[in-house]
Amino acid sequence: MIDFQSVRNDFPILSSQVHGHPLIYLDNAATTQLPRCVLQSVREHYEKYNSNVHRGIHYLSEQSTSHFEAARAAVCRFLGANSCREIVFTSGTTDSINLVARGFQERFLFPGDEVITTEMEHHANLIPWQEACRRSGAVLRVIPLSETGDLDLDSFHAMLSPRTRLVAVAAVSNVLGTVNPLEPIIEAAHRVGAAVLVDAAQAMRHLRFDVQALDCDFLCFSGHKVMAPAGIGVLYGKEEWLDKLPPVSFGGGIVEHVSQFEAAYTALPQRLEAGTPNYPGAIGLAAALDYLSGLGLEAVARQEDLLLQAYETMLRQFPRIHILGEPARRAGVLSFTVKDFSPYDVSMLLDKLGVATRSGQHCAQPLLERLGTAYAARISPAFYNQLEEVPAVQAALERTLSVLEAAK
Amino acid sequence: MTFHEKQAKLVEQVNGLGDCFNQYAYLISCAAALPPLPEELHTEEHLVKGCQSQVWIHLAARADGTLYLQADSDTLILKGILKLFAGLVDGCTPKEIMDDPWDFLEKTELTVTFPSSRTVGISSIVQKIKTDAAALSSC
Repeated sequence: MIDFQSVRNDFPILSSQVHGHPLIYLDNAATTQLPRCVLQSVREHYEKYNSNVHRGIHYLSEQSTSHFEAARAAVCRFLGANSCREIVFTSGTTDSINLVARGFQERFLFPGDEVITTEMEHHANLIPWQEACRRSGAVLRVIPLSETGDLDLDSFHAMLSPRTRLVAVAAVSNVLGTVNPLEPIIEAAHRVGAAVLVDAAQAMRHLRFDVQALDCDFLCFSGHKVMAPAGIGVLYGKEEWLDKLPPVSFGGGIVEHVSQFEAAYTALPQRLEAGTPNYPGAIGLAAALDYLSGLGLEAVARQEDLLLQAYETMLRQFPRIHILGEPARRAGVLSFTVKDFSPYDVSMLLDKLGVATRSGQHCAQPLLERLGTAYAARISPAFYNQLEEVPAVQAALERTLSVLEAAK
Repeated sequence: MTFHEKQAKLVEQVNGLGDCFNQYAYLISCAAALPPLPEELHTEEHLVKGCQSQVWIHLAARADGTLYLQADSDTLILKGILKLFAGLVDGCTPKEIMDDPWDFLEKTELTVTFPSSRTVGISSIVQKIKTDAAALSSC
């Protein structure tokens, strides 16, 4: 049994005061905080073996390279990938998806081909496909949502055809928290010969991924949502797919031989990592994944579910608050609107009481339009939040709403 | 009261409210006192570009050449700020609006606690008021 109260002490930032109030950080769907061990791993890198990787013929470079490649091995283990050649370090989920989308555009998408995405995607898993389709002449199709905020799988099955080249789907929605049924989606896509890309950015603390068992072709996530530094991300791809993907970024580190007029590219995964990679970020990411594994992903997910349920119960006590979606399974986030008031005003006032939430379009404008709102407020607890914070957030919301109501 | 004196009075008033929650609560209470902007003025021409939220402003001159400001926003906090702006502008000349620095927000805790995106939005509002004042002065 994990004592999550003491786990909280691993995160120095959580003892901050904001505007004279103890910080209650509920914006974890955007960025999570870093535990001491992750901060320490990055600090140790810079203090003891900072040097560029893969190129230097000296001790520090060897050390740096070996830690960087050990980080790749840690990610490979964490995801259950078959080999380190299947793990490409990127700057984040957006970068990972763009790499696949541009590769597909160049090699696998032709006029009349189809790419399927969903109505609940983050812009990062929508716009790259819009562009890839626009530039290649392929057609983008979008799986609609049911009234509850679940994917309409009947529509999805009806969309699949021999022209479907790829299905891009979020594992967990960053607005509704919907946990999507990946297995049947992947199975159905594979039956028509389509690849599947899973945007796992919001899912990494809630689902244990075994990419081989799941059989997805690509899976992307960002470090900054799993207790790692910002600016590091991962593209997992089955080796058979990554082998066929052309590099879309060119420069040092990806070549075997270069003449004045052409270049021969090196093997995976370096072939897709042009330029100096973010090795300190990768080292921090490995420490973060190790930290999460130490706590146990199942325990982390359970604790976050418990907190989310407590927040849902609390929010439902406010007649003005409308929680978006009632998916069959929700993880990580609760988005809501407040009758008669802008979510910006709500979040801005909550901030002045030390409660960090997010308001806006959550990089999901088509989804919000579908839900009939331009903006929403969002609460996203992480395992280091405390149940005891819920009544404090409730009191802050009551105070906020009474100020707003007085001005009506 | 001159534009400068009005700003100094506002700074004193807002800073006297205590912590930033109270200052924001005051802004929101000001929002309730902002007269509604006529529907026909909710147009693209009056919309402030560069604001995260929607803000409409209409600056006009009376027969004696002094100005008044009508405005609206979809957020109460910005409506509160617009109400304060309307109070500052009211009765001033275009020259005062264009030449005097608009610095009362910076002298309170409000800007410190404003998200940077909002600060950009407020600068856009001030810029549009100044541009519109310049246009009115050349009429």
